[in-house]
Amino acid sequence: MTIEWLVVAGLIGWATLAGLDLASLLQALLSRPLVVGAGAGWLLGDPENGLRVGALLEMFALDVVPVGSSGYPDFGAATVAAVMVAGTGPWQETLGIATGFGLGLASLAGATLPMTRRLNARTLRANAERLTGGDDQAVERVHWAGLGHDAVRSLVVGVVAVAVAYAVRRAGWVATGDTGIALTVVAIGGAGWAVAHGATTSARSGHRWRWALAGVGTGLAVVLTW
Amino acid sequence: MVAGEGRAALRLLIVQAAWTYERLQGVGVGFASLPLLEPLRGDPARYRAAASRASEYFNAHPYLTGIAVGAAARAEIDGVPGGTIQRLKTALAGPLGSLGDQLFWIGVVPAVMAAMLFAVSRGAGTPAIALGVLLYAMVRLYVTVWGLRLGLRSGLKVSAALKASGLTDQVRRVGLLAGFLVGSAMAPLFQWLAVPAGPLPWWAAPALGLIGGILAAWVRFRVPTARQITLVAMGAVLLWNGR
Repeated sequence: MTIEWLVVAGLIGWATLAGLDLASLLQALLSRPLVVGAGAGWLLGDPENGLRVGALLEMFALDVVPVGSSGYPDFGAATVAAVMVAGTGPWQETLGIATGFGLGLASLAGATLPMTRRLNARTLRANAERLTGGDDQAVERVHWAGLGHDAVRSLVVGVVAVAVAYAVRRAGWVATGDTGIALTVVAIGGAGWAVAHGATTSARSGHRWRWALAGVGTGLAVVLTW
Repeated sequence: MVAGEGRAALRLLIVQAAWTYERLQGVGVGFASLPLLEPLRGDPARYRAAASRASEYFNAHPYLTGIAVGAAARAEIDGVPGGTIQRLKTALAGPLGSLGDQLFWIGVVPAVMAAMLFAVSRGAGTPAIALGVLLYAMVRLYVTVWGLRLGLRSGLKVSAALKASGLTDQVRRVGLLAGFLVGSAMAPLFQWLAVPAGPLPWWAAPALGLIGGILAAWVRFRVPTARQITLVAMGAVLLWNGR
């Protein structure tokens, strides 16, 4: 149940990178729950567990469009913490509570994004005159400061998420047995809800619906034959 | 290759780092434009005016912002009047935002993630994720460099060049592919995550969820998100079992 400190440091680093990828750096899938879960599972020596948690949270993430000014959850550190929580027992019993843990943390972490933007705005206002005057050093200063703000935000969110998950693991506060299984069933139903909602909202044309239904048929054929 | 193009492309990878509600991506656009404006340094007044314009209010999809950065930088170097450059950026912002959202956030990303989910559900494991991320990162880099070059080549004629590039025609195709791949991934994924739920078959919970999600998207009044509904349902389970 204990995790080596080197692994903890790796998890915090991974969570920080995922937080940065969400909006500030690259935006190249490193903040997606499936990718974060795979990495966290690998770091914890339990890749299968990381993939399961990541896959379930990914279905919730498919219902989110991360458009600049809108509020959206930050699944990075939340997924790392969820994978840590899920590793406390048989996956059928812990997947649900870990998913709930991840969903709650993702919303809280997402609420820190406007704070970063307000900090950026403060730096912007302090340099407003120089920016208007075309001072290139001011442009660079404001920009690097913005990246720094998000790096600190991502690190703090990562540390808090990993610390909470670590405490939960040590204390054994994870619902197991029938309650754990019931929570997993609820999480799977919720994931189905999220994917269907996201797909229906995105499918503005009948064509996309028909292709989605063809996909569902293909998936069912795979399940029945493979 | 235009001088400063490589540095501008690298800077475009962090274009949203200084995002604010006042200027949105504005400072990031200015940051990415600076290497391209180097040829104007010989005329400090012109350089400062161009740097100032580049950092003004702007927003687009981050992958396609390079198109506007390149086009505006080309126009600055060609000596186009400042007002015209500002109008060019204003005209590009909405379409580049909408195009990028539809192409990437609602198209390519769900398609790639669904492909990865499908692969994982069939036992492909972590290597499938690594491969997917690597391929996507290559696409992300390619689109950034391509967009920047398109803008730099076209200047004020960037709208026509964008139309001629065929990128807008890909929106529909990618959308259909995303729909198909997301649909394909569902049954294998739910089978992989199947948990016996008392007397109910394993597919009962996902089926109920899918129906709920479709109905929630169709009704006109505001419905809580799937995340909120799931957390409330989990709270109810914990309360019920803790009686």
